[in-house]
Amino acid sequence: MTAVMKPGLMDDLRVYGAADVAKCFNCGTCSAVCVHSEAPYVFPRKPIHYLQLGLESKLEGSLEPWLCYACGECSEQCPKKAEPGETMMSLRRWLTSRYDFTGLSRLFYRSWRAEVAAIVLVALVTAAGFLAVGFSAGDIRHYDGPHAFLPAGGWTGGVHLFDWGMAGVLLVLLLTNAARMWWFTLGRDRDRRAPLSSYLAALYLLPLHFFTQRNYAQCERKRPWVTHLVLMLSYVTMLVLIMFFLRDMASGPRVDWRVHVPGLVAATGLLAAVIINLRGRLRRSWPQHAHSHESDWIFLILLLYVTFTGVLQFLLHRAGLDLAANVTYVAHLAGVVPMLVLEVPFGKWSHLAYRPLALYFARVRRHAAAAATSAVEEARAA
Amino acid sequence: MSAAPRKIGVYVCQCGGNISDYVDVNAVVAAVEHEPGVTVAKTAMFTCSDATQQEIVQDARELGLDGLVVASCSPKLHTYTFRDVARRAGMNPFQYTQVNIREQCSWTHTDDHAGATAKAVRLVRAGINRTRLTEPLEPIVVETTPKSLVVGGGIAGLRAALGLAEVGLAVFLVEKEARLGGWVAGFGDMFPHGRSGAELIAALEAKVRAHPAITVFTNAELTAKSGSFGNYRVTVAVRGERSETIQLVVGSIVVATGFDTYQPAEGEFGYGLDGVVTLPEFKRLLDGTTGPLQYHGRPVETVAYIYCVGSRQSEDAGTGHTYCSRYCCTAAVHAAVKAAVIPAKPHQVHFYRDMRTYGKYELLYAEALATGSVFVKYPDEEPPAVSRDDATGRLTVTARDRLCGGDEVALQADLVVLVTGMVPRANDDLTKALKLPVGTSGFYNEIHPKLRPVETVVDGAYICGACQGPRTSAESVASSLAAVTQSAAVLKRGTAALDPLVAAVDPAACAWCGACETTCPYDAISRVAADGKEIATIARTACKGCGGCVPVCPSGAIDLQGYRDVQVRAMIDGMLEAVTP
Repeated sequence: MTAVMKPGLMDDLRVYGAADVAKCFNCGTCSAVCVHSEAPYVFPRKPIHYLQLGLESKLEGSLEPWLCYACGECSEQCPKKAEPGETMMSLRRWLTSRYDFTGLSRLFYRSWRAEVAAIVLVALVTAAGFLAVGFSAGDIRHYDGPHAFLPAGGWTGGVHLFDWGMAGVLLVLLLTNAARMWWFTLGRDRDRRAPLSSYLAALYLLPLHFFTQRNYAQCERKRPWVTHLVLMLSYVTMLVLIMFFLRDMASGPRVDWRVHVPGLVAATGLLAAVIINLRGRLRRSWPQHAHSHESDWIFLILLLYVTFTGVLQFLLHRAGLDLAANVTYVAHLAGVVPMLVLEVPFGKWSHLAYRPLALYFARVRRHAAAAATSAVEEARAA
Repeated sequence: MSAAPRKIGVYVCQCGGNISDYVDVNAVVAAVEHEPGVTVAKTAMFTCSDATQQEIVQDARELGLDGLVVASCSPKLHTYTFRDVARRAGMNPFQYTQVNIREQCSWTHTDDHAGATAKAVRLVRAGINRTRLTEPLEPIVVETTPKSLVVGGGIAGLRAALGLAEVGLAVFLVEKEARLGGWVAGFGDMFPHGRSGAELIAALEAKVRAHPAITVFTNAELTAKSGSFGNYRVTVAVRGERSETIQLVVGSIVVATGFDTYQPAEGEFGYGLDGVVTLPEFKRLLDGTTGPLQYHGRPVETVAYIYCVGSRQSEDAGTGHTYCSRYCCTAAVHAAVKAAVIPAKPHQVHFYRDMRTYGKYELLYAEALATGSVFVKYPDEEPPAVSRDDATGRLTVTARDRLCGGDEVALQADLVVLVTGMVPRANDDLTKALKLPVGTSGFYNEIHPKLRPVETVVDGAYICGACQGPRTSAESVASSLAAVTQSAAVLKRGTAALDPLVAAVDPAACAWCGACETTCPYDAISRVAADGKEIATIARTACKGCGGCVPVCPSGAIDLQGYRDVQVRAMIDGMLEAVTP
């Protein structure tokens, strides 16, 4: 099928961070040095070539950007300083905006002002809401443990209604985007349709890659993988604690070792990983930190803020400073909510879903192709 | 045959195994050492080595040799080497014979050692037989005219004229067109310096016009050449209100007639469709553009370039344009860099086979990439196709993308630029008048691409610039200065020495029938009166020693010095004689 070229796609990607891709003369060094590049998924050369030629639909259907972990080896070896690693990063941003049907992702990636404005807006609404209805008897000076918020909420505490509701909306958004990703990469192209068996056979890859990120460990440098894994596991630990053990988490002022110790460990992990990454980006010490998109800064700063305020309100509550703890808690939530509402479905967070999905889809595609080939061979033999 | 017996030295080369692995060189020596006239016969590891050359010289002096046979490689390689050895050994250089037992024996008969050895014996014997009948010959020395004629007033010709004048030679510059400057005069900014071709030519022309030693003829063509090396008589026809014919005598002729651009056929890559142009046409459009790019009043947002149009064509196409035109990749990339800085910068997509922006022009390629040009490599066997939608007027280029699995891609473009190459000029009359050698692609041929890059088989006629083959203007000028040097080397000395291996007429036997005159491809034979009859005479400086006149002479009155009939017959006899193993 003839692919229509859209000259100028490279220019469109500039705002997503692909600043040097035009310099590439397709030598393929990047793909030769990448440990993950393996036929039929040859990258970064192939997606970069599609980008240069403006083959938009081929790019949309590419899984390759997600198979890259941005270790930066390709950028270091590139003879033209065309920053292939950064191009892959910008392609992930662009793909995120493509998968997202609301257009918000596109808006945020193209305008950091819009993203900051949206974050501030959600933060203000959240703070106002909690200040208005969030505290027992409307008294912010009073701390009432797990029942402190949304007191009308029944046995779990009202705040649970809120965060489960939010989780539901996020899940719907994320799943819709994931479905679009599936459509672009597997569904749309008749040649790429795979039988159900292929999907089932590869299913185990989803949790495997989600929890271990073991492909990242194959990259030339190991430290980025460790940092990334610590950050991700800490984040997931915190998410599980909050979603399922909020009552115990919020109890106090005594310390509940069963939840508070894992919580503090996770918070420490988050803080350490965030600070390492922030420092790296400031100093540009690793190749993958040589270039930072505005969305990278927003992501890290938000995470730092949320972790810091979370730990602070915990400490303040233990210290019996109810008013200060409650104010900090509102400030914490004013960070958490926009982070979850905006970053998970529309921003950088979304890659926690897209990357394992891409690894999964890639295997499905390969499995289906192999099955098709053997079927043809069998037919030929018969 | 001379009365005194000859003393011939025979040296059979092993060529370090190249010969001796297949030819039994000792057997060859044994077979010929008792031939009449052979005084010494031996083998050597490398006859061309300094040590063996010394040995030959020493043998010659000790044994009083007066003839030399070296059986080694092709005469193309070492004729002059061993002529010099003969001279140093006190022999006449023309009493030496080179026998080729490498290219003609060992390398060709690797599967038949005995056969190769027998053949070598026959060839060496033939060489001895020729040498036995040699006579001492002296080079032909001619006085030369310190004037030069330059044909073609483009950048190469202008620079050559100026260079020749600067070394103190009188120069006639002949240009076919009404104005000087050729192609370059019509160019705007040129790579790599970014200066305008028109300005370059204007400066050069002013210098040429102002130089007192240079006479410029425009609207003029060289129509005939006679005479011989060092003293050619040329006829120049000048058109104009009063057409006239001018006769000039010159010592050398520098041919700088340049190239033509390839003109695509109707329909070739869509040529003929509105919006499909050649590179020179696009360059003119670009040179005249200051605002946003427009073509026929329509804005040009996307430009597609298709490379190798008229170059590197398949031999099966039969066009002769199998060569790479060398300059076009760089010229197209340079145009793209220029187009990238005009307002409303267009998208530019290059469909290429191989990018050959060699040397420092690589930087231009990098610049084109950096300014957003996109490059799509198409397969040799499946060039892009161009079509036009009559309703929208948009052009579509469809190509296979070699760098991504050969998938088909399509580009909508407002302008398609066919990156056309260089083709030889149709200059048949000049080629005939000068008897210049033309290569398979139609460009003029030099003698040796490395060692004699501007000399031709016509002594004193030099070629330079794009008439020799596609090249950039910088390379053209470099070769034109090489032609200046070669001209000066001959003409400033005042005399020139030529090989005496030319035809000679026996006045007693000749009865002038004219057969030789019509046969001679070099116009070296004419009729003279001598002793009350008319006979043929050879202009020894014009004769190339091709021997064409010898067999057509009904009375056997012509012989070729160094290859007289008796010598050739003796060689044949030597080859036919049985070889006893």
